[in-house]
Amino acid sequence: MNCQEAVEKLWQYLDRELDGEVSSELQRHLHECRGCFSKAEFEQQLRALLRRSCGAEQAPPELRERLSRLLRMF
Amino acid sequence: METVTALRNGSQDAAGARAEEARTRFAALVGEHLDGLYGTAVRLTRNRTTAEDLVQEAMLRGWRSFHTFQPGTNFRAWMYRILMNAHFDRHRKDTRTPEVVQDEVSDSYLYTKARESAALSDAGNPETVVLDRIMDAEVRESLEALPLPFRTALLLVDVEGFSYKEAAEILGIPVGTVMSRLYRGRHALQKKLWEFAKDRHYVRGDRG
Repeated sequence: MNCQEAVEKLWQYLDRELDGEVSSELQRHLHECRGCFSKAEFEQQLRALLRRSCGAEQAPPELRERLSRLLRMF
Repeated sequence: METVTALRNGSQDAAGARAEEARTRFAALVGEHLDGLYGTAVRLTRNRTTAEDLVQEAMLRGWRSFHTFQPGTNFRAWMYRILMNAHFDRHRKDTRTPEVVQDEVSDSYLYTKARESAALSDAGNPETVVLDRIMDAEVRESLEALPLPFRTALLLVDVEGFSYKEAAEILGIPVGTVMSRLYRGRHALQKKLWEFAKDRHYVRGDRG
């Protein structure tokens, strides 16, 4: 696999949506190519940042209580 | 007569017990996923009070149709679909999106921009520097600024970790459309993050 193919498939690879064979080929390429490896690492860190900043919400306890009260009424 | 009444009471009790059991099961399932549902609702509505209303509406809708839920299938995806539909029903006009045909390929916009930036290079490894300096609030603002179809794709796949297929089922659209929205959304998000970076003192040299 060359760099262009690797870069084009990178998101699909990081999303674990690539077929086994293509995924292994891309993985091999990342082991061999420093540039693509660093790009992959960047995308992964950015994803972690997104997850951390947008996904760490906790439902307020009042909401939990309100929902279970409501559920008992219906 | 007495026997009939007794039988009827008996079956009523049984029905009541079944309903109670379903209610307990539903409450436990919703409880398990409530943080994620609430968090998603916050990013969808951009407002905590509205988010609570949306979650409440979704829960009631879910409970009303819980009898159609197949035990053993993906409750989380099922409930997210209800949440999304409740939100879309409130915002019919925002759900339209120009479906530009685009190849589903990654493009690493932010990485490329960071590497090209002389100011970032002066501060160290440019891609590490840019990530270290982006603030959580800026990421939230950038995500919330995305058009709804892109925002939902990113929320489901990137934040909540659903597969393309699950996201497609939740949104009721083909997998290819999920990918297209996801990739365009990521590109738009990275562009917005770069705007923040550019407006900051540390990449002043790259303005324009």
